Amino acid sequence: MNGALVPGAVLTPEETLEAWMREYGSAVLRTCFVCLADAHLAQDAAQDTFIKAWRAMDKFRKQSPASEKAWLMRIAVNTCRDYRRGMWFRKVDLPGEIEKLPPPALQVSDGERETFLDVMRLPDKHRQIILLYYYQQMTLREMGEVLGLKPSSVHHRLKKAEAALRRAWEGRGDDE
Amino acid sequence: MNKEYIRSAMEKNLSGLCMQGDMRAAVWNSIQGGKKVKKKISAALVLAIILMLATVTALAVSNWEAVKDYLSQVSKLDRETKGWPLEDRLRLVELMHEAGIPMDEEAYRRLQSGAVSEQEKTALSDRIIEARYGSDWQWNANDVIAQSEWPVEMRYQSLESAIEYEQWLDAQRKTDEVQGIGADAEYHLMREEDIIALFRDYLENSLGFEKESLARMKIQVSHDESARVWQAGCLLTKEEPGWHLPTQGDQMSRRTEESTMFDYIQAYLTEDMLKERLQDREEIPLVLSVDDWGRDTRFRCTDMEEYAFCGMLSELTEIKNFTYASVEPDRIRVSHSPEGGLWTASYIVDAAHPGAYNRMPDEQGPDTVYEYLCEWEGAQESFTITWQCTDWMRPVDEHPLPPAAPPQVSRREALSAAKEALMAKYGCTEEALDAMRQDVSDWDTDGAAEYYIEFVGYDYFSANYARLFNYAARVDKETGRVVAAVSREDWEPMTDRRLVVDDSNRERVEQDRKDRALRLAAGETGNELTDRHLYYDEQYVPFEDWDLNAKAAYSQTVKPRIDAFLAAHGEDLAYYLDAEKDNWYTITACYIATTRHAYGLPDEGALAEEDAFRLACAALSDAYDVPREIIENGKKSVYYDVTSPGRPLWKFCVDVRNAGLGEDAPWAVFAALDARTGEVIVTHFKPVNPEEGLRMSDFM
Repeated sequence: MNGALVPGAVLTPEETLEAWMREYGSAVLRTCFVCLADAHLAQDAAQDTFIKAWRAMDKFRKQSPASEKAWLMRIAVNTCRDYRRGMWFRKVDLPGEIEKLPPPALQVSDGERETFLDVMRLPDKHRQIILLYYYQQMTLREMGEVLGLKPSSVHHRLKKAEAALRRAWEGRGDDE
Repeated sequence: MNKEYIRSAMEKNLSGLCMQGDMRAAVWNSIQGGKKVKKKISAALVLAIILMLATVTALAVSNWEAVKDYLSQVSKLDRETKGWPLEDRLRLVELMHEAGIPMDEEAYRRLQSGAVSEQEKTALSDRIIEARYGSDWQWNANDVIAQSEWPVEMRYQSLESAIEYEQWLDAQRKTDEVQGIGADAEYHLMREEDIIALFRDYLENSLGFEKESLARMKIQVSHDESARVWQAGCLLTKEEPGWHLPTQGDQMSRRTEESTMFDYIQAYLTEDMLKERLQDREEIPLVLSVDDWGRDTRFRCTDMEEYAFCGMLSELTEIKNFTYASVEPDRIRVSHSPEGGLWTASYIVDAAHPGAYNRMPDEQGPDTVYEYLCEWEGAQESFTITWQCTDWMRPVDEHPLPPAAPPQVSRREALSAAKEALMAKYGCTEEALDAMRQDVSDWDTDGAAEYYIEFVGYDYFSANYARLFNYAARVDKETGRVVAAVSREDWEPMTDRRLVVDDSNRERVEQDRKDRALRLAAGETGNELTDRHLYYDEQYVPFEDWDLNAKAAYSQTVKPRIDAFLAAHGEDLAYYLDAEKDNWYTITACYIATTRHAYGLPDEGALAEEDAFRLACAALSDAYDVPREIIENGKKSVYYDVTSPGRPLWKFCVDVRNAGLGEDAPWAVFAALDARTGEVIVTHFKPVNPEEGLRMSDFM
């Protein structure tokens, strides 16, 4: 456990950033991958995220570990949004991109792989909402902070994303 | 929907993707440049500070020449800050003061008082300088201070200042290199006699040619000003003793970081291949290429095939900055066309290559020996880069693509011509154009030498202030004729063509088009738009939480524009009328929602807000069975609605989600009262499911 999340701990900016990278680095990286569907770009975006966090560290007012994570995720999502602007006309070979990922450290069943592909095939905004809610396990309020939306809009979007995901499952005869 | 199953599926599939130590190290490496100012400041970094100070100061004052002269002197001093004499610091502070740059006046007065020690003076001057510039800038390897990091007022520098600054900066760089104090101090700027001497040195000492042979060789030299690349070469014939020597893979002894490139070449050219090539040749060209500082590109070419091969490697690594590790030399294809006398090297870049999209369209290498071709339309999985050269290295005066003649039209004149064309074509005002940032750059295509002028604003929503293209023009450098003047709307047909190829972005494109139309119709050009966004975004306060004054002011300025636009455009704008609709990239929905009603300030005949709210609480408590104290203590939004001036309304919205009322309780309750009589006109509640019941936009 790093010191960044220890209440009352006074860390230098360098220690704070290092702690953030160790604590949230993988979560940020995975978020970037889900947003961009490109492992290489995700690495670039994750690095950019922490560089931006470093520059904006003075402006960040920590309220709780959750707000810390939400703040980083917001930067990550915005960074990916910028990256995506340059990808408008890119045709994504999704299975190919997923194959390029480092081998999973955990064993993945066929069903889990299909479920993951279903999520990745969702439109951007639905994919992100699923990531934040189901994977990052954020609350509606935290998701609102990340996406710059009101909680009600987050809820609305989540319902639509779930409906889209359900349709994908029904389409291939999966009732999960 | 099984939350745990989805979480587990994502966790397992992404479990291999972790932020390792090398990525963290990369982050730190990127950050290092920006941190140096806090610690030990290197010479180059201090130069960057000076240059930035020079820039921002010069932009603010009219005595640019004086600043330039002064800083030219400073730049020749020892650049470690500890080596800065106090008088230089004080002069810098004085310049800032003369320029009217905001500073700690108290510190400045004390500095001027003469009653402080030298040590204190140093501390005070540092305090003033660092307070203004110390943590607000960024420096990269090209000595370019990122525009996005500049103080806001500096992002809109005048064209004249920008050009002059660039020219001066360029001169400073050269001066630094010559003086041996820059980042590449071990080298110096190459002149024609230097490249010839270097080539001779190469022939004699590295390849072992005799001096007699050297005397017979006719050395050709060319220089590309824009790319800062020198090339020297000659023909070696069979009669020349040792003519085959260059085929043995010898290299210059002074290897640089570019030596990796030689390794590729060596891997590609086996000894057998070299022998085979030489069989039918009577002569071979030998070329040495270096940049203005004598660095890198010291490839020598024994054969045009190798020359083309090297050219492609150079194109990929030096021009487009692909890393050597990512370039696969065996994928370079070289072909020859006897009819056209052309050698062609091609390389296919996978579109998924990191940064490939950014590298493809913009950068182009020196146009002295090759032509750059890049297909860039439609959805692509890869790009083909083609590099061409003629059969023979031509003498300078017979060069196939000679450098463009010096421009007859200055940048300033070109800018004026562009403005006139845009004003005539689109009816925009000069003021509107001047409110945007103006970039003038070279646009050379198909041999035509033109200026490319862009008028852009900034998207403050983007983390790095992405540029918003508004207008652009191309002006012929020689005649001043405006070749093209376009607005962003002119881009639309091209977008349509691209959508035919890839329809997946249609929804986003259409949304963007509506957004932009609305924003432009609302009178937003360039900075005006972003300023209002900035206000909204920086406060992190949604419209419903603005105070009555802010709502009234907003209503008076924005509502008429939106109303006019809605009246003039019959197309379906239902999308924007739904404030709950998701909108990723803009807050346009809020624009309309927040202008559906007119807001003002209560007059003398109106009930006080507190009294009206008390009445509202009573009515809402009765209507929805919510304890009155919960409503009174809930998060409240207040509106004073003057849409019907004769009957102004107090409107209250109270968020009661966190009051612990149970799952089926309302999220929020609303009430609208006659502001004069206190009569409750209407009450509403917002249920848990936001898809049902009243929408915020209906109420606001």
